Amino acid sequence: MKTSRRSALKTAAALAGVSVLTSSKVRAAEAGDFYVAKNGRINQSLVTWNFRPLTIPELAKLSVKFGVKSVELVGPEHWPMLKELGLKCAIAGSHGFAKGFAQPDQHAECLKVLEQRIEQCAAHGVPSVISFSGFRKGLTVDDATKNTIAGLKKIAPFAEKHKVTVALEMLNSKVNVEMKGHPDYFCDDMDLSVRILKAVGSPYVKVLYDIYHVQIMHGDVISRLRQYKDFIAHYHTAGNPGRNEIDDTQEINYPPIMRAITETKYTGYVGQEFIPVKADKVKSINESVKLCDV
Amino acid sequence: MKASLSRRTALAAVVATTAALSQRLSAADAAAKTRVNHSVCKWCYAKIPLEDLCKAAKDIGLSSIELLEPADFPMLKQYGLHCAMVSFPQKNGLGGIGKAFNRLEHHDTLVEIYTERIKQCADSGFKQLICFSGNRAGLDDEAGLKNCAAGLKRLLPLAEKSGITLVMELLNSRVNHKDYQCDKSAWGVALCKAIGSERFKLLYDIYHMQIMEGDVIATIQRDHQYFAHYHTGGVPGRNEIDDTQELNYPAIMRAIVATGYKGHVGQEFIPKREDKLASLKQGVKICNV
Repeated sequence: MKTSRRSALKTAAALAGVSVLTSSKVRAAEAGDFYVAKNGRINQSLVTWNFRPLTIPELAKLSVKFGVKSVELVGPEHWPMLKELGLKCAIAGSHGFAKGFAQPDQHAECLKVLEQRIEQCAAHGVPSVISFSGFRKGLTVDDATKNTIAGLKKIAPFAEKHKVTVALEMLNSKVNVEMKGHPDYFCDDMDLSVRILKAVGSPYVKVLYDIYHVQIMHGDVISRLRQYKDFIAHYHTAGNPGRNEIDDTQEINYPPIMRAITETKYTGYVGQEFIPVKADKVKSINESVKLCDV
Repeated sequence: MKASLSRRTALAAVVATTAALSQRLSAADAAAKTRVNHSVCKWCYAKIPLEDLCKAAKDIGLSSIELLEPADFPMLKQYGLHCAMVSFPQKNGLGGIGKAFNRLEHHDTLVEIYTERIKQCADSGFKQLICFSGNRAGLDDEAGLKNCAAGLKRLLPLAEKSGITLVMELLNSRVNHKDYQCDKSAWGVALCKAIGSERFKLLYDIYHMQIMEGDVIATIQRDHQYFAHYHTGGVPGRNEIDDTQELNYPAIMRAIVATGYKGHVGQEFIPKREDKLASLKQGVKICNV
């Protein structure tokens, strides 16, 4: 019923030449068919840097429209706007990936940013905040591991007190293309990440399981997420190779991965973090929402 | 009147366009059929007699049944089928996955049995013969590589003369073959470079390498000149390669085709569903990009 009404509208719009008159791609999508997440088993979220030039408010409106529940890795200045639209911020940004706990001389700066952000998260109901290891810069794996454990141990009590989870992101260090990989990033291994988390030993310090990065560094995505389910605070998506659309143009088959995530009783969010390569970014977002709505 | 005429004209135009389009599509379909040469590993259908599998292969559109012994070749020939990868010879417990080329003390036996098998391959016209590294059993990767290269080099003059490629399989050591040495594509590629012959290459098993290292398409794009053959399997579980598992096989097949690969892709999943041949047919369809 709904579908036929939509397709009728679409035909009418096409006949009237409405598509020619629409000024933005957002409006083009409004005029046509789109998918609304309805299954409620995967809580979806949109990361924003990768969808530029779409703005954070535009992405928030699209989220509402597509049944996406969160817009993430955005600063506190955007949180009231999200709240007004009934959206969450699943995970807050903090210090960038270039700095982190692998380097002792960066601990103070990272801790300062994280403490402030954790307080803000607690006040606004944001459940988690991102953190990074930073680069290795010639350190041995042992030393960088010890440093990262020591740094995360410093923030753990503060995170526990405020009930905000610090999510350490694992990134790939193989792909030497800007924002598609991070050569020399220390925390580039899921086994290592979990060893660090076990040593920190806090239920409020976990890992961000970025499916794209894990596929590049390890593969065996479903087995790993099952193995490490108790340590995973958040998920990210993207197609591989290329970090583009998550559709059938690339090697990761997302729907069964999403089903595997639901089977782990995961109650957090999955953030779409692919860089659309197709001209209609809004359509790419909508298609990725559909693929993950298992 | 005028309106209905123009409606008729419009309809005629639509019909003409549709006909032209469907002709183009069927031409595209025919081309697509030759882009991937399909093969199947016999052992995954252990309960189906070879002759029945040969008949099914013809129906499904497979042109090869692989990992077969020379004794099976006459049956294949009877059905006009190829054997894209010939099975390994064994003697005194040597030649199989666990005990093979990474130990110097295995080489005399391996050279003896592989010499015979290479000749059988040459006689049959089946050009590729599988081989293995063996398990590490405490041997480090550098020593294992040196030993493999030394053993295989003894066979390469005959392989080169006979036009037979020895193909070492990459297997996972996380789930199925604990301690197997040739478990990373980088190690296999280094072995290919150490040997330096077109008659020694790797079998890139997509299932095994997804378990060990991921990044399937980028690896194929980078190292395809060292890959003589491909195998499939769903991850995790090694079952059907459909939407129940994490690899998007059509995209991987398109990447393989784009490298100019002319060999076969061997279906090597273990069907989980009751109708095993229906699963095989589905696997071929998924890979028929």
